[in-house]
Amino acid sequence: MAALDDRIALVTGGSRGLGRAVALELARRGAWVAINYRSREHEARAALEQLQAEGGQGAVYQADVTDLKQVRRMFEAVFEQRRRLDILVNNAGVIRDAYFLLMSASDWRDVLEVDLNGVFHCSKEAVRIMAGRRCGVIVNIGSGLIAQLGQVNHSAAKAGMVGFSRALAREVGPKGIRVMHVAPGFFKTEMSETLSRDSIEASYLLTPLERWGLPEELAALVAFLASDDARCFSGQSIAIDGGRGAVEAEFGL
Amino acid sequence: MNGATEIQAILIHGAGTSIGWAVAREFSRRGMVVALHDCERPRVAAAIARELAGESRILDVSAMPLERGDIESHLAAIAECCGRLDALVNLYVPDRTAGPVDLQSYVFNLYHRSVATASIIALHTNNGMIVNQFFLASAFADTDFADCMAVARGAIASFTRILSIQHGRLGVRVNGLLVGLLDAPEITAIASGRVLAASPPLGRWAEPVDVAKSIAFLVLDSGYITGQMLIMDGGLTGGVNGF
Repeated sequence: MAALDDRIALVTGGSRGLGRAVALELARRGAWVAINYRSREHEARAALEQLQAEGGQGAVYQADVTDLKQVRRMFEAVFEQRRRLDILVNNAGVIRDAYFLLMSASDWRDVLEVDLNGVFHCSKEAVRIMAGRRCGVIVNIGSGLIAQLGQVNHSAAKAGMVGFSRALAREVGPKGIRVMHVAPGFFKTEMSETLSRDSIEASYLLTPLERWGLPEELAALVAFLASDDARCFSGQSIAIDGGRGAVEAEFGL
Repeated sequence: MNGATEIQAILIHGAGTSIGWAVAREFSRRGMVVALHDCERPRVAAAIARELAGESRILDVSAMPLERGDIESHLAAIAECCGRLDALVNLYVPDRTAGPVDLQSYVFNLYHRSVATASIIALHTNNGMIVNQFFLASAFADTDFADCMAVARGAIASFTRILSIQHGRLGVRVNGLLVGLLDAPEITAIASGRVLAASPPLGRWAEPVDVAKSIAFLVLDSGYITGQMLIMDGGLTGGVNGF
């Protein structure tokens, strides 16, 4: 397992779901982890308690990633406390599913605000800090499911994140900063619990491994990418989807 | 995970190179049973086996033909020597003396070997892994086997995807690792001046140890990833390869 001893990490949307699993895994491997949350303070504190119970170290930080001022304040606070930042995991996301003609402008804007503008805000503040020491890793958690019905907002935002990651990787590579994109398929989280039984079973038919991913499996990928073991990876997108993308590429959906 | 069994024994095909050396060292360090196979460079495979003999169980199985014929029975014999078999790592380094025909047969051999291995692996584990390592053909753009490298790369990416679909149900995952510029004598001896002059955004070439670390991740810690070609090129291509 790749070690992350003494690294300073920040995970957006770290209070629950995939973000929480990532925060816990980074801490298990030795990183000091800042858990960002917007409104679920109780859950963020519970995540931190779990992290500390496992012997890890970290802190919670409130900030709405759509608000540049709040984001700046959060990164300044982390920097003040730890004097550096090695790893940023852009995980925060919201879902506002609706069929296209029923999708309101605010459903559209909310998703782009969090999933895309939030990534811009956080990455900017992170690069500002990372460039000083000429090292750092940004891992953007996007989605391997960018053609789902009722999700033009989600699909647009997550596709945007791929381009963002590639372009930023080229720009900040010479500053010693790596940028990677991760595209998860279906994972067992609180967010996925809202899906119907039928659609869960239908998804197994399209997944060679015939199951959904576990949050800790995504966390292991993020931890690898954040470590020196992956020092030659940048500007790439890695799907973690039980082979669903392979099926999609070969057979369509 | 999901009652997945631990990976314990691994077969490295094409082990007699600096990448093979690094990969064998990485798995040996983790206490795994490592079988080395290289019928073209058996002496290097034997030297690796000697170096690592004290660390964990290392077997040099280069004498068993895995190219054509009854691959499955030879693999079964290797699995028996190892006690079991959980993973296959197909490593490739171009041989300057090998002609186009050899490169094409490499691809077919890789496919048949992978299919045969998957059925053997499935007997031992629900968490098996096949990793196909190859190169971005751009590294060999100015060589006289550039065409074959391009065809082989595409074929391996395509095989990897199909194999992952075929074997997912058996609990065998199949992934690939495409390496860009590699700082190893086997590669730098072949690459042209303009390839050597290219500078990835991160400003460094991959070394055999980087390949080994990435393969170790794929084999031991990549749970839900299958059917993927990972591209390790220091950010040079920026994901434009479309795999």
